[in-house]
Amino acid sequence: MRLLGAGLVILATGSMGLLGVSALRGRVKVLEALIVSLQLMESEICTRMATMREVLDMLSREAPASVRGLYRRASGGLAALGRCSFYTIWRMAVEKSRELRLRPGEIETLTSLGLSLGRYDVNEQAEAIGRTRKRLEAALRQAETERDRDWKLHAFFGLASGIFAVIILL
Amino acid sequence: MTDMDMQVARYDTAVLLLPNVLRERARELTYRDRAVAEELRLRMGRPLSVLLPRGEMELGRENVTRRELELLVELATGASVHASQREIQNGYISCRGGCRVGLCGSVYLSEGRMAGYSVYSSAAIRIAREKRGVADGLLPELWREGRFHSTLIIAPPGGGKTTLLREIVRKLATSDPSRPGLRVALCDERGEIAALWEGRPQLDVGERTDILDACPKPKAVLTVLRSMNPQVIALDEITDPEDVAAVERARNCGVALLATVHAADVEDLTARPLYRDMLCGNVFENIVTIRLKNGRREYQVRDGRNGA
Repeated sequence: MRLLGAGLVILATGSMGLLGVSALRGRVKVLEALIVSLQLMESEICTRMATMREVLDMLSREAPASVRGLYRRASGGLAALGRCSFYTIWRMAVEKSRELRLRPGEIETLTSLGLSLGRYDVNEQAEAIGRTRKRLEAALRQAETERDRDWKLHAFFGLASGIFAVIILL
Repeated sequence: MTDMDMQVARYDTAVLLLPNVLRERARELTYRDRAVAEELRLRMGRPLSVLLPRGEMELGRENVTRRELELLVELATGASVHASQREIQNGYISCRGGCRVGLCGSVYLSEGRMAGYSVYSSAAIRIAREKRGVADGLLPELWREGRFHSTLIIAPPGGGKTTLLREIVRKLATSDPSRPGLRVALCDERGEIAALWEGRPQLDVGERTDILDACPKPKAVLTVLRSMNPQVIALDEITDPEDVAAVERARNCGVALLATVHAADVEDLTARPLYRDMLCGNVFENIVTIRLKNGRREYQVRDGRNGA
């Protein structure tokens, strides 16, 4: 019975460690997906001159799955145009997309993109999207470093804390 | 749905372009006035107003703000200024429902050309109007010996040329028991005839009409000739020698033409060398002139061959 308990404790703490590893990997994936979706957005706006509704609808279907929610919310929010500005709709969509687990600086970067989207000519918008992408790419590099550096740490601490708890309890 | 209901529906569509507070004001108008309203006008620092046949009338007392004008542009473009950039550079935005928003304000230039507006100061929402049936009495004269004959519509600005052109296009492109609908290629450079919005015509131009909008007329005529195998090519306002050359080229390809031109009458037109040559070239077999008589429009058809 004691052995079973010890196994369960180690399993639980080990899972927590693995969750930490998965969060690190997930963050990298989300940032990669955001960057890809911004590239798609730029092509649609600058090459095809698509309207924001078309762009957002397309991204909510065809962007990488992890970021579709953001574009779905923004697209749905367009019904409120007239009551509020596009910037407000975009900002609310970013703020509600908690599943992205973005850090405050990244949220600010993405939110401020809404000040340019659909408001200026294609060159200005391309510049704004490019700026946003660069910042997210910097965040991605940092996230990759954190993932490569910390995943072993998370896994080790998960298992080690379980073993430590078992030793104390036994 | 009666004609009046349809006009009111068009007014209600135009009202949707207004920011919320102004929308409520615009909806306070009586049903009868909504049916005849021609424009909604917004001027910064002045109340919203509506243009009726009897004149302009203010709606409410609240002054239009800069933010409301910006919201109007966001609504009119679907928050996509870039998609309407070419139109904005020409001072207007075509919208859903066939409405058109005219803009004024401080413009900014790029490479010596108007690139857009830094501040909007006023806007006019023109409400689209269709007049079904205006070509009913005219069509038998244009359609003889089992085919449609090339037709030029002549009238001064505001004379109803575009409305008549649209109605003839609609009738030609729609089958009726006496004849099949024709394939009509509509070169709608300024988007006033079909008011294409997201690929759909907002005004009825018939079942078999293919629309090419926002394309300069000479290029548009060649494009539809090559790609759409039209039986009739329709275009609004022949103004340049390039337009005339394109029309003559299309005529030589055996396609019937339907076009409009600004002129008081045939004599006024033949006084201008550009059009005189076109008329002498027998490009158009019919010439329709529009005259306003006792507040009603009258249409007169005459033979357009041999220099009219």
